[in-house]
Amino acid sequence: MPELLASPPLPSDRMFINLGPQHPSTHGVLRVGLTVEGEFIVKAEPDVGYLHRGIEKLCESRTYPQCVVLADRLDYVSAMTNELPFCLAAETLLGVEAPERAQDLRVIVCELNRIASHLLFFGTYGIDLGAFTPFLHAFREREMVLDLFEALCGGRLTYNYIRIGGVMKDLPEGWGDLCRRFLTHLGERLPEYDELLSFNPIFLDRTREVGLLDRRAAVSWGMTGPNLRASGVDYDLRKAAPYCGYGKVAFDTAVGKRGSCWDRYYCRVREMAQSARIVEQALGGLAAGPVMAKVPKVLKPPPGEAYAHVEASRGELGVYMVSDGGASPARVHVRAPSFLNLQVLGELLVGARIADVVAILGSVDIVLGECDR
Amino acid sequence: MTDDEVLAKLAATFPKADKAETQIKGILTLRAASGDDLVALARWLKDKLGFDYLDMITAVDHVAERKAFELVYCFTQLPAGQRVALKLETPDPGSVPSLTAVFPSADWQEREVFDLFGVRFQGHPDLRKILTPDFLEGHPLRKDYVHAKDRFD
Repeated sequence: MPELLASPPLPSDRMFINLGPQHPSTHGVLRVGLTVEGEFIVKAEPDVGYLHRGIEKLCESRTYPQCVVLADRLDYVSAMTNELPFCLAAETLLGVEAPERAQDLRVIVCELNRIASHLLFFGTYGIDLGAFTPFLHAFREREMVLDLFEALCGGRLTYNYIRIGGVMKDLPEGWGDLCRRFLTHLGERLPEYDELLSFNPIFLDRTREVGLLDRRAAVSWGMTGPNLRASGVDYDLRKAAPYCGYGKVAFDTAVGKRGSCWDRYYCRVREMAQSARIVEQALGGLAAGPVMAKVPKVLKPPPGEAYAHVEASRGELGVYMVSDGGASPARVHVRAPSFLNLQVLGELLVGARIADVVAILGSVDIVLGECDR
Repeated sequence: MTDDEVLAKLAATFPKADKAETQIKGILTLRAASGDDLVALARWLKDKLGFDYLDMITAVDHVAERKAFELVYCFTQLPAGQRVALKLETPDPGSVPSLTAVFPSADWQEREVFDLFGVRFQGHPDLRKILTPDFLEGHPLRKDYVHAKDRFD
């Protein structure tokens, strides 16, 4: 009786599915309007702005050091790397340079923050795809980074450690040893991560052939950071235009081949090991001397424009700052990597299956605080 | 490519374009004479000089001093990382041609400038607000913006 068992053809009318803004796997308040035909997505419209706090406008009525505090609130999972371009832009306007020791300390904290940020990605990406255990492992290690930051400046999420002209204060007694102990611990755990998740057959099936983004598309859509490198473009600002103490350290950039979800994921995992390498070298070659340059109490940079960039955890973070000679910047623009990386979603999701939406979205690793500013 | 080489090639191709009056520190900053020039210049930078990556688009409000908005574009040459900036003035209320045909990544950045400054981009496929809520009137990054009390105050 085969004709009785055959199911009637499934209707494949177009249907609108709303993903977010309150959804655990959108990593914040992101809404994506999906138009689907059966199982496949024919149109995807990311809708951002739910977390817009007007930070660029707020900066116009605050002093330069107060702007750095706001910078912490952009990408709140790697706040150190957000403070840095604000300080670099203000320093360029002022014509000040941070002392060498401060430059080295900036490298150390930024790389530790990159590790913490990528650990968060590693954990949550596993959860997005149904693997809960890696999350617990990642948060164990991330906790250690946050403890290090707490010992350093008192803050666990928003630090205000990097200041215009240097850093807040020098390392506390014994911090270097604690940091080295963490690096050893992380070095032992990273191979475990590969066993747990990276080369897990189910995980590979869910990510390896999904969300492919070729080199050309990645460049024309303005991707940066691990997302761009995963597509085979060897561009890392720490190498292309070294800032602070990055010229002194040796490391390899993690470059992917095909720009799949797995490539984007694994670029970040490999970057963690490289960041640990950088911290190790920076700790070893830490210059002696003061950690703060001589800067006036009230900062009034001469009129001018500066545009500072750093390689943040999510890509190239730029701060364009215009001074009119007053105590507040006349204009601050944040070139947020998450904002530009998210744009590609409209193209990346078309043709994908509904089940892969979360795999693709998670692999782009966005933070909406930075995207919406 | 050095900044002087870029300038020499620029002078040969776009006689009306020049170095901008205010330079962004450390980045060669050019000035486009008109909106039409802007698109041609961007295409030239991309195709002929290899600045294939649109880094950012933003605007600065100069309405109080000279009744104009200044659009700022920044391009990068990948993977070397060399940058060049491009400026264009547009009288208030601003209107400039869109770069979306040359750089797809201009899409959201132009929407952002439209949302926050009210500058219109001709030829943009979908010029809608992007960051501020739909009920918000006005363009918050304009210096003359006055916040009207809403249900969140």
